[in-house]
Amino acid sequence: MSDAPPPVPRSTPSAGSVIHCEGLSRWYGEVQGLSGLDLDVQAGVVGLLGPNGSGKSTFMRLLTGLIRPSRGSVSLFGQAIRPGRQEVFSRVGHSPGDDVHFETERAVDFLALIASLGGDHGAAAVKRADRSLDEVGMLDARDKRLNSMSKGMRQRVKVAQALLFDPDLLLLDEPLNGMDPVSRRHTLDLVRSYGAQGRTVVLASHVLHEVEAVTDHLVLLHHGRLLAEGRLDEIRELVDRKPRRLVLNGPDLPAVAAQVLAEGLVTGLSFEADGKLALETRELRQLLDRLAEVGAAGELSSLDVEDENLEAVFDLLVGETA
Amino acid sequence: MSTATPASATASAVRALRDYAIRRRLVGLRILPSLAVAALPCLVAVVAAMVGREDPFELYGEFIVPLTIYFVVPFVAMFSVLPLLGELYDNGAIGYLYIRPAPRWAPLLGIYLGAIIAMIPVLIFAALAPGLILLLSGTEDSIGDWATRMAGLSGVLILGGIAYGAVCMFFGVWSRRAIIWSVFMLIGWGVIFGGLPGSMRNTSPHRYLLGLAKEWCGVSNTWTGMFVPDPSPPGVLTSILVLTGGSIVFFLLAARAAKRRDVL
Repeated sequence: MSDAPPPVPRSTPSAGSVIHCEGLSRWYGEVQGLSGLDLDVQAGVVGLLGPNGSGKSTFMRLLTGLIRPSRGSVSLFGQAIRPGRQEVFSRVGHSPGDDVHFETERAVDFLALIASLGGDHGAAAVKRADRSLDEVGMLDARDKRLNSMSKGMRQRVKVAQALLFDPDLLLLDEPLNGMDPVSRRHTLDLVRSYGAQGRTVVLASHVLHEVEAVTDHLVLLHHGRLLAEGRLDEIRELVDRKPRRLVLNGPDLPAVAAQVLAEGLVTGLSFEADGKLALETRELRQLLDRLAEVGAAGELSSLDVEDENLEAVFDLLVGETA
Repeated sequence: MSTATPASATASAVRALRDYAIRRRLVGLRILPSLAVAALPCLVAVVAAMVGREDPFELYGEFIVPLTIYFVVPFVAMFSVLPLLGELYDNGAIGYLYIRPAPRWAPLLGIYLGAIIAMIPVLIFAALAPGLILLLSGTEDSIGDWATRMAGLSGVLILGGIAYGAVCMFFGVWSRRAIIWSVFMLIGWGVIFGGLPGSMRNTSPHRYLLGLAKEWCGVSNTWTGMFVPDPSPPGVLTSILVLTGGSIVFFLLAARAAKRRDVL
């Protein structure tokens, strides 16, 4: 990651910090929702990644003041989030992970209701609602009641309510769940566009390719802890120091196994049920060079490097802490 | 980014949530539970009209008036306020209202006002309908006397709705078990303590509602046939001050609870 910003000290917010957390923790009784999160987020699109139960929604709720931290602090645009301090939310749009809930309302009425909480009323609120629905491609469905919409449509309505006031910080919690491919692309384009305008978007997801499509700046959570943070290639560097798995096939695999073992390039070795050879290595590049020589000699018919995509990167990091 | 001032956002939030609450509680089938409770005195009136042994005007004053105060007001208040807050808090939908520049008490005030407005026609129905039934069953008292008594009871019930609505607002915001707390407080503290002798009676809103009933409906609250008489009922001014003051206190407690309760 050549253009990555230098690491920032965690004790104070860096200049231009949009989100700043220090030791942010939250317990639900005995259950840990988030533990000791130190994070500094600047403008741009950030992918918040983690499996279900990793603390993504807890983090979002802490950012929006819907729940209070058990320990630590969080600030948005330099303002601490505290009960009763609502002014900062004029700059924030939040699409929660839960369903939209105002079931019997028409889409336009729901958005106008939310718009009124930002200061619009009557025709002005309806106009703002229509503009926002248009932005997510839902203007045609403005008069549909939410309980008659598909999940994907309700998701778009949620995103629309988050966009109502052109927020400087957009928090999207699993926004693509239930959306059809066209809507997903539209929403991801929207996220990219907001990021390109110099705003901050936090896109929470447990599906890595969704996030990969809009940013390479990742925050990985697992079991309520910060697993890794940085650019995708930074995280790949971390991963490169961890065992990677290769599966080989060829006419004389025991001989190949003996060679790589003798050269100390693998940390684990096993034969699969189908006769293929599986290797684990921390020296992926050197091993690949060596195997290229072996392959050239005709001793390998196939070589698959697993864990090559972002999903595998995430699995590797999670696997290490599990 | 919103350019709204906090003041305009606050006023707008109050209006919008007031309208939302009215829509949710007054329009459609959701009004039926409140109406069912409010219709109970009508049944009593119908039975009394059929039997015809009591003077209708006295029956209205000495039985329908305390029945509506003891029974109708607490349940109508609960049915009007608690479902609104329950549906918003139980599924986290209140979060949409709290992540905005308007202070949290603003949407709550809107909900409270909307719930009160939704209660008013129901409470007026509870006061007028049994009165009209008894009036039509034959009476020697003048229409003016009936109108005064029924209008007075309507006023008492509306003030009761305002006071008990505020209590329900507090419990609805403060606790996930709002219905249990509300029944305990409105029936236990309100009706029971308000009807029994002792120092606790002074803390019960019912004592002040009955004080108003005595003055506005021309009904002595020393005979209800349901609870021990109050030897020194409060006057109108005291009653109004206590009821409005109590409503304000409970709403402020609700606003405070809104800051502290997690939205999950």
